[in-house]
Amino acid sequence: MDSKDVKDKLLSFFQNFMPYNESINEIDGDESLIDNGYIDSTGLISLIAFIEENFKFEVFDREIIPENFESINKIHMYINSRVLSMR
Amino acid sequence: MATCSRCLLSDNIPSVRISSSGLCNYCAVSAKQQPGHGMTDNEFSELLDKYKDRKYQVIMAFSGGKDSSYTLKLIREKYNASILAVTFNNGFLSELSLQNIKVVTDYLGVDSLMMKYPTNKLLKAFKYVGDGRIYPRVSLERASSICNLCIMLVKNMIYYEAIIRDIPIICFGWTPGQVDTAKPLLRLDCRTVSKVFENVRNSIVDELGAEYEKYFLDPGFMRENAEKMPWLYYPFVKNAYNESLIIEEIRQIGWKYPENTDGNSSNCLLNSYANQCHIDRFGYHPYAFEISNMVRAGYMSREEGAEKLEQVKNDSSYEMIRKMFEKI
Repeated sequence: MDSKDVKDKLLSFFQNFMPYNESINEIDGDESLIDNGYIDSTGLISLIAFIEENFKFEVFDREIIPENFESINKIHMYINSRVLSMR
Repeated sequence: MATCSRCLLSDNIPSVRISSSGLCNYCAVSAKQQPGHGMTDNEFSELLDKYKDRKYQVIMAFSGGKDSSYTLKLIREKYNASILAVTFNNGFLSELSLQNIKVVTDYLGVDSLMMKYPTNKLLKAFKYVGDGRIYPRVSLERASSICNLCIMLVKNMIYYEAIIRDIPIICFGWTPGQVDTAKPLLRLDCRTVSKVFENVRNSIVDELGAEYEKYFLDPGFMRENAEKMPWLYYPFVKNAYNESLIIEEIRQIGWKYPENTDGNSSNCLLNSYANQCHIDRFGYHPYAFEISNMVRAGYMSREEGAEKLEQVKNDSSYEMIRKMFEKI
């Protein structure tokens, strides 16, 4: 799975929760998902479940930090790094 | 309005789309089924063992409702955990719920505390958040604005009590429909926990005054106690959930179903009003997502789910609460 596949799959998670008339592409990849209301505490837990199920690795508690989960770009980089380390 | 042929979600909810096959976008990506009965929860047992010398190993957010009563019984009897049950009394717990709290904790031999904030202060806050504008849309799809605030206050209170009492594990009575996770244990860092409460905390303090600050976690306090962050335990990842069996089991230890709550709450009188306000404002039931998750995962039949979605309020408690809100 390359970086683009990772991004597409990650965006599909957010797209599924978007209102019918909005697109995930409208979200700036660097903006805070929590500050801007795209995700809340329950959503964060669902996101972790989604990542583990779809990318086949365990998200460790120590990794659930703003540096990895603040924005779409940070989540993308985090997943990429974990996927790469599995190769 | 179209309704999912599998889980009952309808497309008047902003994020729900029904395809030509009749399935919603949530069913289309979900293949999850409930776990089997009696699975071994080694991680939780090992964590309890690690903290066996603590006065309390678990702090339980105990509302006195059916789910938290059953969860308390489960972790006490199956895991033999030392538990402090803490109830957030929002001022609207039914009389029978207060009795249930006493009966269940007495039966299980569990120490119990009740935290109550002044009702008038809470009413003001509930009224302020009523239109839902301070919440993300995703939060309002899963619960009414009043429930969202109440749950947030419970989470803030429980985290605080866990940290100051050095209790390593927090447990809530979430149903499998309320939390989507495959991890029975999760430990969030202090910044993430502070962050998820920040927007609501700031809005309420700005609008209603600094006297509300103490009901939310202080980021400085969280940073100072970063090493004490407790684990969150989700018991129904590894334990079966069946509403009828749960009610039957807790009835055997003296728990009784209140008659003056609505069909989706077994402890809170405020819920009727919160549900009706949510439906009036947004056009869909605030329990729709929880119920659809339960139906999708096989915890509840479609017919049982439809029956729950028809239950919005208890007329007498709704009217009583409506009058109280009018006076604020």
